[in-house]
Amino acid sequence: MSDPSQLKFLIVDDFSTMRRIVRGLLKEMGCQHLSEAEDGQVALNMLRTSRFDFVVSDINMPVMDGFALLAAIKADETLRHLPVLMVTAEARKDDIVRAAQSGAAGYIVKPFSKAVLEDKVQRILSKMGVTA
Amino acid sequence: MNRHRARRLQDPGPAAPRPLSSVPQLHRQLGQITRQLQEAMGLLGALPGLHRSALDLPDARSRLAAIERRSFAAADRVLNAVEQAKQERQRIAAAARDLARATPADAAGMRLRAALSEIEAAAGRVDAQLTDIMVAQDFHDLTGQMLAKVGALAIELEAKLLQLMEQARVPMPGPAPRGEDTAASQREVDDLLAKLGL
Repeated sequence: MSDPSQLKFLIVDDFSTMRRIVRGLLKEMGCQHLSEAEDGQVALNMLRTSRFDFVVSDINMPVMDGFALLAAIKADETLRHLPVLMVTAEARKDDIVRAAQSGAAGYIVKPFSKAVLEDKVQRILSKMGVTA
Repeated sequence: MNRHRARRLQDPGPAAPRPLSSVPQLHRQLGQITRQLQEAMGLLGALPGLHRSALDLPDARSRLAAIERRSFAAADRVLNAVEQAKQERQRIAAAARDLARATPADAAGMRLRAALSEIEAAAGRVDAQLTDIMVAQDFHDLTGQMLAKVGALAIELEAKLLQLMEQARVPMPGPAPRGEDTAASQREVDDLLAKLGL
């Protein structure tokens, strides 16, 4: 598979501040193709109209939350291969279990450091067979 | 054995609470507690205070909204500044590299190259600090979510307080404490995920 700089990332969060931070960190990791969506529904529409390789999603969002987005991705034959990294302020164990059982590729609790995001993304990319 | 000791040994102590046998019985008891609370609040003069609190809540909510707006604007300004500073840092580092390449390898040139190398290294350290400043702006996301929850709670509290003034006057439940169902750290999250095979 191609290197991470060629992959298309979709960052989903209702807080623009958080989207900018995740975008900045992914950029520093060499990721160049970065798009943003402010809720799960907007993200799902984007995923169904454009090709993406990786989704980084918040959980608590209006309109469609991260769990509903994850479920919609995994229920869609053309999207279910997409890795979804959940980034959320919720550290509730039942949420973590639910995310894992719903097919999330990883789970990060805010506030997080650059090292934590980098580690999680690299692990997922390794599983995808992408080398930095 | 003296009389006091004998009585202590025979005394079964305070009676254990008996289970309520029916829903009507539970309702009667709740009604009794509510009446006692109303009487106690009336005696303490708490009802006028609660009324004032209910009237103050819209102002508290508008202050919360102002905090949210100001913290968003502050985080936005910092992120703009960080992004510009990172671009400047890249330009400084690139200029230092170009100048070092163009510097002759004589004694003076070698000193200049060493200085330029230090400038480039310092620019790298500044970039790491800028990244830390950028990531620290996540406070806005976290405090924003908390403010939203407190704002929603204030709306609910306001409605219930006003209702309390008018009719039932029931006490409000407090927020749920952080308990066993909450992971305390990223490490705990990772351990849980590992157990789940992720």
